[in-house]
Amino acid sequence: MAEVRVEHVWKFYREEAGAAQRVEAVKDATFRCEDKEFLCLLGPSGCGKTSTLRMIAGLEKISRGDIYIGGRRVNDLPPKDRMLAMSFESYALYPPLSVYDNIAFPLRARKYPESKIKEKIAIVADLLDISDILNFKPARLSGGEQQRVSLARALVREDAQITLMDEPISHLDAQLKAKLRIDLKRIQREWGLTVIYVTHDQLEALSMADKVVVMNLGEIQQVGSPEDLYERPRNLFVAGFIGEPPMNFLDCTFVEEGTQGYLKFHEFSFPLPPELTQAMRRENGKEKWVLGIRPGDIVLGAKVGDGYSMKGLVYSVEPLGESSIVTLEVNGQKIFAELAGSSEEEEGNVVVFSFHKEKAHIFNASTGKSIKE
Amino acid sequence: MVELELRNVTKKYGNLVAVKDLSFKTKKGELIVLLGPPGAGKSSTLKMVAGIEDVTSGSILMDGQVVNHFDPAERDVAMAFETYALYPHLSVFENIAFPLRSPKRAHAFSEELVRKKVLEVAQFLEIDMLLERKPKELSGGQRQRVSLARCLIREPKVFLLDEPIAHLDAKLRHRLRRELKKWQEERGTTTLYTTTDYLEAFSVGDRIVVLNRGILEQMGTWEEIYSHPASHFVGMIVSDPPMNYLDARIVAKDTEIVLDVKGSLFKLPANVQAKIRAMNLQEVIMGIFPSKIVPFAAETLPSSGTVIDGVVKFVELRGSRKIAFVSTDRNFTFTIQLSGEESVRAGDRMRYFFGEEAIQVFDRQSQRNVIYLG
Repeated sequence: MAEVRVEHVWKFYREEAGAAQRVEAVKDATFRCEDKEFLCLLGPSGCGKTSTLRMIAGLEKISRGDIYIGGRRVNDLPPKDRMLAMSFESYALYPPLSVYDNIAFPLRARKYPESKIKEKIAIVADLLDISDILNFKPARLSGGEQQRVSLARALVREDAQITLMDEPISHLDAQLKAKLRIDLKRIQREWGLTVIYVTHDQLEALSMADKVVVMNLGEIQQVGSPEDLYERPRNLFVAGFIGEPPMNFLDCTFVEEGTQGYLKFHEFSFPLPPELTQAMRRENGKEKWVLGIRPGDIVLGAKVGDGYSMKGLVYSVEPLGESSIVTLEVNGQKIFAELAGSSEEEEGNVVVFSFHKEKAHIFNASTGKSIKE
Repeated sequence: MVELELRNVTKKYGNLVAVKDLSFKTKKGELIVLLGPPGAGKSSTLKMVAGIEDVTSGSILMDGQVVNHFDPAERDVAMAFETYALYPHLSVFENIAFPLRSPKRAHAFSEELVRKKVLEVAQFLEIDMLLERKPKELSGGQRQRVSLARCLIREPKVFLLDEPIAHLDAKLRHRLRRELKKWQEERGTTTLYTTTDYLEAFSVGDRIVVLNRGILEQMGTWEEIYSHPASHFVGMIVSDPPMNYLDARIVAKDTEIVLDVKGSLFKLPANVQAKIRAMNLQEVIMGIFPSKIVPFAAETLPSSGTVIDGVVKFVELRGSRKIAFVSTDRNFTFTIQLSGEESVRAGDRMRYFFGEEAIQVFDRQSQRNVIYLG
């Protein structure tokens, strides 16, 4: 096992076409994956997460910067010498081999005894629910089954220093996905694997990762634990990308009365604590601001303590079993509230709702940055 | 508004039974969700109602009239396919307008009205900026919305929506599941809607039909299904993380019947005890939803329900919620759903509680919830 360091790494495509047409897929990425850590590269399609993973794997040339695995610079090392196990979105199974032989392939190449191979395959096949199909050829398998076989082949490689995965469970149905998230995390812990995992699904990242690197348009937006990203998003992109239902964004203005600063949303004013008033004044207070509120932080009915409150129309009520989502409408803008249990609210009613001051996320609308940065 | 009924409908493809003896009846204007994993028979059911697949046996009725022999046009249903089935040579606008231009309906829609209706549905589905494009210039999610728009632009007796929002990104899916329900309610069109996602099913469905391998496992409102899942399968599919299941034996204690899980005893509500007695069951499965187990902080033990001690193995963050995997001192494992505020970490000792009404008991042989047996 080993740690991975990515330092000021860039990836250009079409470099030969000249600077004007050069595509910058990854821009100055720096992060570190510790030994035995589960790190997720998270972002929408085209954000550069897969290019980053492929550079770590050695499948793409690093345009600029350095990558170290276990302290050794690997820029010029071919993939096979990097001691990696990989499971990619395209399954790359060998068609003439059975599922069993596909999974055994990397172990046989490393001269594992057959008894040991059998034992390891039994464990991983049971875990991924593929014990019944070990004798099948890949052509007979569904997409989801092929994906699990590809995953099994990566997981049996416990000799690998790093396990790299690119959307390994994205083609599976919801139930199997939920099960595999838990199982993957458990294996990673029990076997002490160092995992770098690419996904576009924020729930996968939040639920499995020790550390998440959020990317957008080739740039790293934030590096942190799942709690950091959820509770302290650094910018509007991270705030909007993490969490479902998504964070509510309200366009506000900043006003001052004497020394007291307020955030104003239509007829509602929210008094700000002195340190935020000062920070916002410093940042040219006249600019537009965005108030972000997580749906789960909204309380319906009475006002919470000294929190911020508003009044709105109940637009819809969605039951979701253990919780429900009430959509409120304030001056034409929809605001989601997520409540535990079922809701008695009726569509068309006017309700008061509120949230604690410390749950307010405030962003500069022009830079997108959180005021707490 | 029509009342749609399936009576003992079976569909076989060669030896494969896709739908087996399926019977259910909608109310007028109701939205029924068919919920189940891939291969449950959801799409086959929709295609039989649409008339593009024959039933192998059984009947499909609209307002009490058997329509088995009606061709698709005579049934007056509109279907949105999961595979989109768009006309590649037509623009998005013409694809959506297509049903309004059919010879039978063309006289009813002036060009101006067609334009108005296309715009309305395109804005609703956020594809109004794509109207001039051809299908091949669209992403999968955009194609899905064009297919849905072509269906929604009609005013048929029945809408058949096959996983209509499955391929959209989370934000849009979220908005559309709410808006589709409103669209359907405003028009009062009887609708069958398929999905693999129980949250979507709960959110849009007036009632839900849970399908597994072509068989109806349960039909009911989300409250009915969530409070008493009819089978082991239903309990697993309507909760994420899935229901906790533990093998249990029935034992007598004083005058009561209790569950024995590896030596731990669990009391049961009276109606469940009565069922178990009547059926003379011995081997069962105990099931509890992760959301119905709560941390217990009080000093004194409650008079009913169960308090259990254990160690947190690991914690999954789910945004506003956390999922804790707890290994109990009695050597079994529970998944527990906590609020995001709860500060728990791997290694913490935890005491938690659940009431007897939270316990579901399934017959180990038939996998059915005992309250529905007998």
